[in-house]
Parts: sequence; C-alpha cells; structure tokens
Amino acid sequence: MRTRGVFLSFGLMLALLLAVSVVSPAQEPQYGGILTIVMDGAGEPSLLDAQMEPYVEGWLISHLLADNLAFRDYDGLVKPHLAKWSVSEDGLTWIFLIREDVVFHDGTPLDAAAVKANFDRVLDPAHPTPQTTDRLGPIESVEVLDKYVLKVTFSSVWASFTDALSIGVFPIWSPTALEKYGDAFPEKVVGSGPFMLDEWIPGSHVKLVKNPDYNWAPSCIGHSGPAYLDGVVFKWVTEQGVRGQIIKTPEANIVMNLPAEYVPSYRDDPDYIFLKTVSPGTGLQHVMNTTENSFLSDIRVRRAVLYTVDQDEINKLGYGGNWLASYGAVNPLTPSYNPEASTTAMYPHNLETARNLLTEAGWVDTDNDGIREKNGEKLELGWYCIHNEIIGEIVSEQLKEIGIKVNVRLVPGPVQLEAAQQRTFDFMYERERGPDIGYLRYFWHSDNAVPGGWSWTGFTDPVLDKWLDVLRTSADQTERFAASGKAQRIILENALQVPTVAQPIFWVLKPEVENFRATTAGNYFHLYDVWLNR
Amino acid sequence: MRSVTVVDVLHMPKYIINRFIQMIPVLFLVATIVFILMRVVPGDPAILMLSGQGAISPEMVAELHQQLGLDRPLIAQYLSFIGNALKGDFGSSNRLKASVVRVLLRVLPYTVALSVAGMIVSVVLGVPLGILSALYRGTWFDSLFMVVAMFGVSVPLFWFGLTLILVFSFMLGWLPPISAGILRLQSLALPALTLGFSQAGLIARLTRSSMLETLRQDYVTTARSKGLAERVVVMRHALRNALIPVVTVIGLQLGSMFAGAAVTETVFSRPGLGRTIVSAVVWKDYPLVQGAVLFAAVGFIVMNFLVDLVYAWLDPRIKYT
Repeated sequence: MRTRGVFLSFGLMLALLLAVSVVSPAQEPQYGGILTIVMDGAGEPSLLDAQMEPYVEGWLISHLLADNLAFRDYDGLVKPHLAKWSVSEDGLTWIFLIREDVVFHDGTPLDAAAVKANFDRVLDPAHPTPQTTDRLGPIESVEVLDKYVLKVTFSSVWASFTDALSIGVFPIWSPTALEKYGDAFPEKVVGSGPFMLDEWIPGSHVKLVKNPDYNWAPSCIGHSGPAYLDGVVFKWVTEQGVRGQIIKTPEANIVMNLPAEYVPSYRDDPDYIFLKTVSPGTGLQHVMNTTENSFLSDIRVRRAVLYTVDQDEINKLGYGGNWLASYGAVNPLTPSYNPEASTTAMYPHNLETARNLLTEAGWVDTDNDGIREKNGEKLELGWYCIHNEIIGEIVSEQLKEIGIKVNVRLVPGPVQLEAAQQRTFDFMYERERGPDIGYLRYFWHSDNAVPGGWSWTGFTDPVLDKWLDVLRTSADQTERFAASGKAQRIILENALQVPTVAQPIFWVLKPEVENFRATTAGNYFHLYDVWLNR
Repeated sequence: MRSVTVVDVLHMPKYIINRFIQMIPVLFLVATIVFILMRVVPGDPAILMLSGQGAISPEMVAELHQQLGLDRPLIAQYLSFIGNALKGDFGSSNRLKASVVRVLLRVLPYTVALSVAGMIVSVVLGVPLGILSALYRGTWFDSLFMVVAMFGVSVPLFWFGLTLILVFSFMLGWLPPISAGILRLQSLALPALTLGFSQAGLIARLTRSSMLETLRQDYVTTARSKGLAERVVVMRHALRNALIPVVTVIGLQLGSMFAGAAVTETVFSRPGLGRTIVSAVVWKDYPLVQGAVLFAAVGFIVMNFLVDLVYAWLDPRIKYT
C-alpha cells in the first residue's frame, strides 16, 4: 500500500504540474485572427497523415485536421468523441456507436463504413503503417454491424486500445478522399477536425483554416460550433538562436520548444507568458547495448556507468537546473514511477565502487593515459544522440573519472535508427512521452527486440516480459502500476539504460493568446478553444 | 565595341544544339554516379522507412522492397531509372509519398529566387569593390576592401546569417528572421545577403586581379595615351576584358548555389533544393536524391551555357561555332 500511495501522490503531482494554461475567464472569447506557432524545425513531419507519420509533430497537426474516435481531455482522461463504445466481458469485442452528425471537410458523412475504411487502411499489410498497427493492437476483425455500429474483435486483450484511439496515431480520415487521392493522400489530408488544410510548404510552414461547419467538439471542451480562430500557421525554425527570439517579432504568437538558454529571458518578463510543461515518460534515456558488439555486454561495466553518471549534475550543468533529473526507466512525474527502481536507490553515486567493478571486469589502465584497457583494446564507448549532445559531453566528463572514454556522436534520426537496428552502438538515445505506461513494452519486451522494434539493448528476460504483458492485457490501473514498478526494477537491476534528464517543453506566448492549454498527453495541445484577444 | 553580327546569329542554333548534345553525356554520367553512390552507401531504405515505428517482419520488408522495386537486379533498377528519367518521370519520394517532380517543382522557385538574388548581391558588391581596389591598388582603401573581401570568403555562412538576423530582425526589427516567401523582397533580403556576401568576396578578389592585369595591357596604355578620360578607359576598354574570368566564376557559383544553399536555407527556415537533397540523402530516399541531383545538374549546365553566351558579348573574338 505504501507503494501505491507513492504512485497516487505522484499522479496528483503530475496533474498539478501539468495543469498549465493561459485562461482569462472574465473575458468573452473573440472570433477571428490567425495564430502562428513556431516549432522546432528538427521535428518537422514528413507527412501530415498521422496514420503514417511516426513522429509526434505530425500527429499534432493531424489532430487538428481530423477527429479521433476517442479524445484525451486536459486532465489526461480518455473520453468518447466520434464514437461511444462498450467492451465485452472477456475484453476481446468492442462495439462502437458512431456519431451521426459528423461530416468530413469534403462533405462525406461519417458512418461505420468510414471508420472501417480507416481500420482497413492501417491493417493492410501492403500499407506500411507499422506504428499505428502496433498501437492499435492485435485486431482480428473489423465489421460494420449497422450504418452507425462497428464491431472490433481482438485476438487477445489489448488494454492500450483507447489510448491509441485518443492520441494522434489514428485520425479518422474521409474515405472518399482516401479513395480519390490514393498515394497522394498524405499531401491532401481530409478529416473532420476544427481546422482544414489550406497550404503546406515543406521546410517552411503549414497553414490551416477554420472549418466553418464544425459542430461536434468533445463535450469536455466547453465550447461548441466552429473554432474561435480563423486559422493557424505552424512555422518550422531549426536555428535555436532564431527560435529563442522570434516571439519578439510579428512572426509568432507562440513558440513551442523554446531553447533552455532563453528561459531566463522570458520567465519573469511581464510582456510575455512563459509556460513549462513536463510530460510523463522515459526521460532522455540512453539504452545500453548488451550484445557482444559492445564492451557494455559485461553487466559490471554497465553498473559502473550507473554508479558514475550524476543526473543532477547533468541537469545543473547542461540546463541550469531547469529540466527534470530522471533516475529510472521512467521520469519521476510518471504515474507508476517506482522510486525504489532508481539510480539514487540502487546505484548511489560512488566512483570507488564503479572503479572496482571495472577492475573486476578486467579493465585496467596499464599505460597511465587515463583510459582503461583490456586485451589491447581501450575502453572507448560511443554515445549516439540526435539532439541534446550536451548530455553526452557531460557524461563523457563524468565517465572519464573512472577511465572510460566516451565519444559523442550527434547523428540524424535515420543514422540513429540504422545503428540501433544493427546493434553497432554502445549508448543509444531513446525516449517516449505519453500518459499510457504501455510504452514500456515497446522498449523492453522481447517481442520488440526484432528488426524495426524499439527494444534495442539485445536483452531479453521472460520475467520482464511477464510484467510487461500485464501492461498489454490488464485495464486495471493498480495492477498495471504494480507491473510497471516491477519492470522498472528489472531494467535497473540489469543496468540496461542510463537515465539522464526529462525535457520539459518551454513555451513562450504573446499576451494576446487566450485559453491556451497544454495537455497531459505528451506535448499535445488543442487549439479549438484558443482565441486571440485583439 | 563589336555588336553581334548576322553571321553570329546564324551560327547560334548550331551552337545551342551542340551544347545540348554535350549535355547528354554529362547528365548520363551524373545520373549513373548518383545511382551507384546511393546503392554503395550502407543501409536499406525499406528498413529505414519502417524503422522506429514498430516491429518489422521480414515479410513487411520484402513487401516494401517489391513496392519500391528494390527486389529487382541492380541493372534492371538502373535501366528503369534511366528510362523513366528520359520521360521526365523520377518516381515517387519514399519518404514524402509524393511525385519527385512535384516535390522538386515546389522547392525550385525558392531555390531559383534565392540563387539569383544572392548572385545579384554578390555581383553588385563584388565587382565595384574589385574595380575600386584595382584602381587604388596599394592604398589603405585597397587594403580595407580586400580585408572585407577576405572576411566574406572566410566567414561561416550560418554565423553571418545569424548575425544579420540578430541585427536586422531582432535589434532593428526591419526584416523578418525567417524567409517564407518566394519573391517577397523583405523575405529574400537577408538570405540573399548571406549567400551573396560570401560570393562577393571571391568575385571582388578575382575582379581586382583580373582588372590589374588588364590595366597593364598595351591597348589600355594606348587608350590612355589618346587622352581618353580614365573613367572611359576603365569602363569601356579595360572592364569588359577583365570581366571574362569573373563571368566564368559567376556562372559556376550560380550553378553551385542551386544545390549548395542548404546552410542558408536552414538558417532562414526557407525551403529549397539544397535542404531537400540533404534530407533525402539522410533518409536514403533514392528517387528523390536521384531526381534532385539531376535537377541541380541541369541547372548547373544551363548556367554555364548562359555564361558562354555572355562571353561573346564581352569579347568579340569569341564566336559561336
């Protein structure tokens, strides 16, 4: 019960920390205006079709263009949206009652056949949407029972189904447009959302305009009819120096992912609104390669690393203490975080212990150059990252203390994925953010230790799989949290990852932006009820 | 000054045809090299397309190989690529799920506008700077200009671009820090200045040395001895000849800007061919890389062709044959 109490208090803390919003309840919302949001160009999506786009920025835009069957509200709770559902006692059969008043942007009415067309699209083996397919789970069949009734049958229980339905990966697109545009659909995306695609210039911006007919917002939003804004423009800016100051120009109303070094400039500036949100999730962890390709295959070396890396120092030196130190397989704000499965509890900072472990493993500095050797090979390890290389540089300095040389390799995403597939890394960046702890399965279950899977360490363990399977099959929150805590413990016991820090999202807004709220679901926001006070 | 004669005009079509015929082996070679290079680089585009999204089965990879035509022998892939390219069909981008031609045509106006604007900046700055430096050779004025030119050649583009943004966008608020429009002057000004400034340094140094050499020629001495004003001697007699090597470099630079402006494009968040190629290479997007490199090669060749035409205007001794 003590553990559960800890979970609950963390959950409460999460809710409090994430309830970040800009609300002026005293004022009457105004219609009109174009909201411009500047986002990190490094995250620019290739496609606006979230059924196919693997990155969250693509889901975010999709999510404004299309509605989902379910909706995750500002408190992180899953609510019905395009459909209500009921589940059979064995958890295998789901019946969806589809809304009858929804019309896609091209005039096609929503019905069960339209939803089925979307399921068919992502379940089609010839259509490469593995992430969406994975998240939707082991679906056996999808049948239209009536014009507005759909039945989905699973081969085994899939507890994360409503989570998949509520986040960006499964927007419901117009079946007419899917048919009409075929392969070109990702450029033309047609949904039923509060905004419609107006212009997309890759490398520059995406422009959305208001859907004037929108009248099916989720009831939890507290606003009906069309969106307040006439339109939204997303601009992609890669240069941190530009992103850090662009809010001072007419080019932006909101900057998402403000670089950390600019936080002090805006935090206390009354001319701007500064927000900080932290998502539940893994933190920026670096998983360790346990295969024979790496010196980290020896658990003593991995444990020596964990005794040495100081997460608080990374946060302080790298981010001025503005980020959140992460000590385990999930960050401390994640519901189900198990503080007993953390580096502070299991690997308290101790260089002597770390040195002894390396010596025991046969790594000794024989030539007094500060780097340990064994069988004529230096203890040099590669630290792969796709951003935030500063973490690698700090870790490199920390591990130098115990005679390990770390080479930081900042690489593009595709190179990271290739190295992960081929297991040619030592430390590899990997992160997931979101409200559903089910993502632990992606990183640590042996099912995903296959080409294309997210489990990259090469470590498999039936006991770990057993706890992770609970996350797949059980909808009981207490049971899920307990299983998550046990899995976290096994991950740390086997020293499979280096926890570092969790990255908050820093936002800076012009004061005319009203009612902007970031949600608990990763870095999501809804713009439907945002308005500009002009 | 010799004007273009009827004989020249009659020779022009033949010359143009010859040049176009010369283009064919060059483009063929470029296409072959880019095709081979992309296949030599390790990594499977199909795995990359599916990676990071979820577990991939060998069947999924095989299916995608078939869809992309990667299951066929290399020679068959090559012949298809060449055959389709001759018809102007470069296939679809693996990553963007759109026709390569459509992707390229979407970014091409941005690239052409930036390249031309950058070149205008470099010529407007570089040529006068080079002439003045030559005319005032050895003075403090010459030294100062050459220091500026050296600065232009050596300064990193991204640093210079960011400095311009800091001054003109954030401090003075005159110009936008990002470049969204194709031809909007406000939008083009800073990226064109960034791109043009580095080229201006090279042009200034080249103009200066070429001008100094020309000013030493006998015909310039003759012109001066006739009592012509120095301005006339410089502008009418010396400059045209001095500009011939400069025009060659301008042509080459303009061609290279087509695909080489990726840094400037990134700093100013501007779409363009350079960024498109870099991104496509990283994602091993074979069709897009192949199409984009061929587009860039055509741009380069056309620029050189135009330069050759300008030669004849500058130097009457050059004929189109």
